[in-house]
Amino acid sequence: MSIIVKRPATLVVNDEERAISVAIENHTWLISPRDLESAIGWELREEGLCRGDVCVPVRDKNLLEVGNDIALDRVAETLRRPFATESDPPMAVIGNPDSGSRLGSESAPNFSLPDIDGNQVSLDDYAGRKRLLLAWSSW
Amino acid sequence: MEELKDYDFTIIAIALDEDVDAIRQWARDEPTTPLTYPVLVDRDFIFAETYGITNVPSTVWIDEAGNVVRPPAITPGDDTFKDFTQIDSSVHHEALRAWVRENTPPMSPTELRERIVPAGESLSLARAERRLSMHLLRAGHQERAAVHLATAMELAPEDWTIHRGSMPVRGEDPFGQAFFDFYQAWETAGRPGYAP
Repeated sequence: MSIIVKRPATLVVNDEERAISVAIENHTWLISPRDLESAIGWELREEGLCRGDVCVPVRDKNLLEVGNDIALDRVAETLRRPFATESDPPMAVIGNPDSGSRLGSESAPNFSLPDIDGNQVSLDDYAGRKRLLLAWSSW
Repeated sequence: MEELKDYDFTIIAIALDEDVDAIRQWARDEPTTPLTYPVLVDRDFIFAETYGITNVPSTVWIDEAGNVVRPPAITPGDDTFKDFTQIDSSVHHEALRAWVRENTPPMSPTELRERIVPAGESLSLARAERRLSMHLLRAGHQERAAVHLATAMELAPEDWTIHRGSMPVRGEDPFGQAFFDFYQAWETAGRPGYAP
């Protein structure tokens, strides 16, 4: 098997930039299983792609595994999350699941963002109250 | 807000802005009385994408049990842009009072389900491309950032959050000609994605 040379890259998950090592081959992003787990929290097991106790079944493991590496774009596909990439500089975004499917679920998805003073605030901080979320902007 | 202060209710304001300083300044200077609710900054449109916000100002209502009782809807605070929005703000204000004070649900469960529309593949990908462009821009790669922003706009030609929201970083005036051109195209297309 040929030796795959990796280079440093940035993977954006939510609002965080995470450092990974990647080999880009035919637009496929190959990363180590360890990077996969540390960057997005998912790992490939016998039962599928898993995070903690939650597993998403994988029809053909061979599609995700390339040698000792994992094809990140196929991971995104399996998790039904969009994946956008740039090769120079190597940077990729693994996006959020479809907003419609999440809103349709039983409870409102939690999120956590900084307030104007830099304190982290989440929706769950106000659990047990009626809440009106107001999205606005200066534009 | 003031008249609802005795109820177990809070507003959480979320600013979809790259310029955090501008928001901070607004929150300190603009309000006539000090703000009694949190103002969060969503540079990466995390909230906007999770909740499928297609334009501003939009509101989402969440009840005590943590369920969405009113999905994202464009909600002007007053009637300044009534001609544009075709929305009467007093209708929203009345519904809000009834919900907070008397627990009157703003819509039936059936209507609620109908209103939650999946973003679909191209809008989801457009959002990822938009986010990629913002991170490239912050890292100083203007040219590649512009390419990915163009891809995002191509994938979601009628999404206000992507189009108008990127005008400041594209060097266009969100209240100028570029905005009116976009508005005209959107109006001609039959106001897609519009949920008043």
